[in-house]
Amino acid sequence: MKPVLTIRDLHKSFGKNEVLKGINLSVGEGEVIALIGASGSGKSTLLRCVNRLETPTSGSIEYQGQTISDVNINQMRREIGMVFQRFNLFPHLTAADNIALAPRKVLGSETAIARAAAIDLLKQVKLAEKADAFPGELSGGQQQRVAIARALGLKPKVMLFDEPTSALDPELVGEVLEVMRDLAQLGMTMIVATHEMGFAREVAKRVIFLDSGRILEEGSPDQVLGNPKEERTREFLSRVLNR
Amino acid sequence: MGQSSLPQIKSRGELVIATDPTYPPFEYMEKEKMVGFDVDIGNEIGKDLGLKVRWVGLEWAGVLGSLESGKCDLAMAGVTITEERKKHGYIFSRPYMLSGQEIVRRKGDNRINGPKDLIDKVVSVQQETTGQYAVQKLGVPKDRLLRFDQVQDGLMNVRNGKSDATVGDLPTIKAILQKGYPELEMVGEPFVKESLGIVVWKNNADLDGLINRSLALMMVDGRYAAAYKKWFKEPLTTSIVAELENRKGQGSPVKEIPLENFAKIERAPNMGGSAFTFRWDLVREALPQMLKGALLTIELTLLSLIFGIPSGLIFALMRISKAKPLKAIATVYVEIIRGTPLLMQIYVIYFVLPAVGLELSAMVSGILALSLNAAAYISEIFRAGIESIDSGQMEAARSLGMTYGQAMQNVILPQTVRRVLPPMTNEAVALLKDSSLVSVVALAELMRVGKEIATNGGSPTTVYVTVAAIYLAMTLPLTWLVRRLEDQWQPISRPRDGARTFKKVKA
Repeated sequence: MKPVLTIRDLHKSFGKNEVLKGINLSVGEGEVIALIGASGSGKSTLLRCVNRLETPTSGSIEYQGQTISDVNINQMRREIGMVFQRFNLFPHLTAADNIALAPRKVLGSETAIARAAAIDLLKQVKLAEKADAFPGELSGGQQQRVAIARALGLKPKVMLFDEPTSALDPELVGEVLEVMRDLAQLGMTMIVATHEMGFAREVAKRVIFLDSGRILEEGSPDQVLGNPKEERTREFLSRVLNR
Repeated sequence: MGQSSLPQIKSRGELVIATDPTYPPFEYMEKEKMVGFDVDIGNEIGKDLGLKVRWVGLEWAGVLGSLESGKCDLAMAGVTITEERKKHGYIFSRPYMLSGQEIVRRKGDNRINGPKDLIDKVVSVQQETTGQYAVQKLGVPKDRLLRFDQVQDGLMNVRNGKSDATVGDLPTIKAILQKGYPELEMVGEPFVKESLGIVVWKNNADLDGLINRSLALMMVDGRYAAAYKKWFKEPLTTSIVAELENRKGQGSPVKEIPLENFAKIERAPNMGGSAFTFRWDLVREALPQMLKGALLTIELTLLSLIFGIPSGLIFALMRISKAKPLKAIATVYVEIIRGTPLLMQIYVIYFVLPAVGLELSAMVSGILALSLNAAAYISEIFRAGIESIDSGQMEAARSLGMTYGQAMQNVILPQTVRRVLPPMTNEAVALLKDSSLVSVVALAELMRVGKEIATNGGSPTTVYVTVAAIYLAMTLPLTWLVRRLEDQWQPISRPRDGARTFKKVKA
């Protein structure tokens, strides 16, 4: 399998606090990776480094053999979509306009074409009827689905999900996970930071356990979630599953 | 405060004299003390009447008006006796000083040798003085007649080359030129002869009678001669005394009253209240002029906003930028503008910039000063607005491949505009009111027009109430309009717990 993303010896510090302590990771095309670990273990920072919302302290990240840097980042971000915990929809734009904005501004699509594409994406996340609703008129689950559609607007090859269901009421989690499951089935390469172990077990091809800025254990969901080798992994899982 | 009358002055034990202490040698400040010819003469009048004297320093525009309101009993400010002023209800004492209108030019400027040479030149004067009237009478059109609050502003203007000449009272011009302005000189003898008088309001004719008596006494017992010599640096000649006696009739026709009569007056009980009448006739007469002033006020405000808002936005973007030099420039700029009075900024732009070779008209200076000032405050409004937008918005936009500029333009600023609308309205209203300050550079905006009318109109209360009403008529619709806009733009929000949505919120 050809790697799409290759992360080499990635370090990231905020002041004196080193959050990532040498991450090495290779992501194959169409692979779905679940990133698990306690809060503060570095999941979010790792995803934000890949999208360069944070600048790594050292190490490198390659996308299809090309090192991601400040110079080519706007280009790279077209290939790598990101979904945030708090949705971050643009409140002054309708759902359709939220999705169409980047294609229009970044790719130069015509307004009508961008809107038609946006409606298609809304259909994909089962929200076609909400095209002209403003974010404030949508539930949290609907907002996150629009946010996913928005990230798909540039037709990225890789999608990063930063705890996409953590800010949702429990009854709204299911609809978002369903959309993500569909996406995985379509062959999207995904890295998902999550606390949803059920989703990780079912959808992920590989589970990575991050502990204090290091990858402590990785493998198939059955290995890592069902029969963890490391004591820290077992502790974490028992905490999460017995909650 | 009630209108002054002799019994009330008596019970107060104090004579209140209005003046404008920027007028040497008649009255000016020396080490925080008001001194001058008028001050000496006025204090002697107080002595004659057995009263303490309290001097009230006002702007010239407010001096005569303070009499009608009863705030002051008499005015001594080197006031020229004119029929126009008498007609408006002012009573003048007998002339106590000879004066005349003197032309001042830059040294060696041979184009100006007499009053006729002024007709095609730019002339500055102190507003609503007999100097202004004399120049108008010569036929100098309005657009070449620059009017200022103070004599010194006119002199500065000639020195800067913004006007060719200034015209003012001989004694004052002489006194100022003795101390400064080596680049200026007087042109020959005064071209209009004038007499100065002490002023009271029309209900105080008795006080005028007493003043005339006191002046007459002073002129014989040597007190007048002493003050004259002290302040005009030359001995009082018999020909001057004879001329003053000659012109006695120029004062209002009020007979001298023996000082003993004042001593006999009973103290009045404190009456309180005042008989103020709103002068509709004055409003009718002055309204067209005021509305023209209001139009200039609106023009100044709009133009300053048109320049101030984009530059304010640019400064705001510089201030939040990561480029240190940009940030530093914007920060220094904002701090300087916010840390100094607008009035001073106007002065610097109009009077000081010419010294370094930058010549700007009054209108351009006014708009420039207001725009620069507004830009600083507006940039702070924008900065606060931009910083109040959740950082996730910028991250989401950037993660979609937008550049910083695209994200600003399409995501951050549209949200900022809605948020800054209320403080921006405040700024616009403040700017409209602050535009009154540019009157110091001779722009006839509303406040300035009001001052001019109040100086001679006899009822400053009427004038200022009307001016206030016009200002309100301009600011209230503005606030109302913006409230409407805000309602329509209310970002659609959803309470955390409820299912109701708000598209519009009732004000």
